[in-house]
Amino acid sequence: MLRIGIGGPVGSGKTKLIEQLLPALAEEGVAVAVITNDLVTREDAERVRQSGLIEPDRVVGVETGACPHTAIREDPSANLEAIENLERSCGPLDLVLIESGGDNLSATFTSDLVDYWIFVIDTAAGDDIPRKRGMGIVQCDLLLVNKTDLAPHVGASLTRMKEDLAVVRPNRPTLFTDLRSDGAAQVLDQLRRDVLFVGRPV
Amino acid sequence: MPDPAASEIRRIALAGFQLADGSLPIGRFAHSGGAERWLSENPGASTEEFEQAVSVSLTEGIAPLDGSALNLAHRADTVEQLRELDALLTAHKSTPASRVASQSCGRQLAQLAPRLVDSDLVTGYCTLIHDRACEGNLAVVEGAVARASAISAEMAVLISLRGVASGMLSAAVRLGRLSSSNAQVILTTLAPSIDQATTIALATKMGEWHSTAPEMEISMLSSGRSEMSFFAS
Ligand SMILES: Nc1nc2c(ncn2[C@@H]2O[C@H](COP(=O)(O)OP(=O)(O)OP(=O)(O)O)[C@@H](O)[C@H]2O)c(=O)[nH]1
Ligand SMILES: [Mg+2]
Repeated sequence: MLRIGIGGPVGSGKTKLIEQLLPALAEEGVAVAVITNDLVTREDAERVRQSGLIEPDRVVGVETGACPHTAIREDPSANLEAIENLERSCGPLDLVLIESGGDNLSATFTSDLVDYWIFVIDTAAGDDIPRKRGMGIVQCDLLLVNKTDLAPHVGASLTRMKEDLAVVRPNRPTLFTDLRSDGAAQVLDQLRRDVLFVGRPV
Repeated sequence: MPDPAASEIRRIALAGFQLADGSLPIGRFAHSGGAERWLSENPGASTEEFEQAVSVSLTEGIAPLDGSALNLAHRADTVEQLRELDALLTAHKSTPASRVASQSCGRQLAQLAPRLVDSDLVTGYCTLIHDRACEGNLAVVEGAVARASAISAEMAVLISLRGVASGMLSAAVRLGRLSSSNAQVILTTLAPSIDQATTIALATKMGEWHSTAPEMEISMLSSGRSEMSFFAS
């Protein structure tokens, strides 16, 4: 089973990414489950559960004691337990997507918890974000610079972001996405190249 | 000249510090023993009132149940005895929230424990927990692990109760209700309560198990499930 983490600041599009990936994964016949680490409520877990995109019992909201970064890095035990419970109740899974509650730019996932992780940032939060070299941006396996559709409206230069990212993470992939249009297809292509379906006929 | 006895004492102390360490990854951060709920239900509570609630929870809620279970688990010689204590402790936990907290943390410690201590008893018990043949309440796992590390029962109970107090105070810090320096001051002020709770835990027999910390217990009851589901950072 592959475990993919999805982190990034509040509102950058993490849950949106999950919602967009689920139908495509279902089409491929991937047995998938979703774990959300919500800050305050089980808002995101409920949202995914009620989306109709996945069987509700394959979605679990982990309580993080208001510490999502702790739950994905220092002490992943609550998430590990959730994975174990999901496997017991749903049978063998191919993939678990683990969303971290929106946190800061330095939130990273421990390799105890995930095999691969995606960090999602938002162009509307400022085009200087890459230069700040947050650990999430520098270390993630795949960076999404999301909401490219909003960039012109907020005066964010995608060119500048691209240049800065070439310096900040020279050897790792970055995608510029609009998740309200076809951004998820790019992500799926990248996952296919990097981790998904490895050794499996597609 | 190296002094083997002194070395042994240091080794035991290190094992104790490790059990007490907040960075032990067993999910303690997600469970505050009712403190988060209590704080939200008592928005105007003073620091003194919170401190009092923590103190009462230790001496009347935790010590005569989990504290005693830890002490007895420390004395258990067989996996079967640990399993019985575990089941009995579950039966005595009156709220779903307290069961969830105790078992999810206990199961995580049980996963880690065989890599931390070399003991057939601990490994045997942890295997049962892993296979879901026992629930794995934290106090029972802690007791077994402490004994395997040659930490005394008294010290193990003290470490655990101090951890509970510290976890409740951390919850208040996370919620912005207490400064981290004040939390440390309160932890010092609570020393007599932790001491008293330890005495109670060591003196409570299995047939006398109970847990009646009125305020925090009520908080846990009313939440139905785990006690903290609506706090922002
Ligand atoms: N314009 C635009 N809006 C987007 C895009 N992706 C997501 N959104 C919107 O941004 C808002 C936040 O998206 P979410 O997916 O909830 O963000 P999140 O990262 O899960 O947020 P938290 O879980 O609260 O940290 C929603 O209203 C989305 O519809 C995008 O590419 N373009
Ligand atoms: Mg979300």
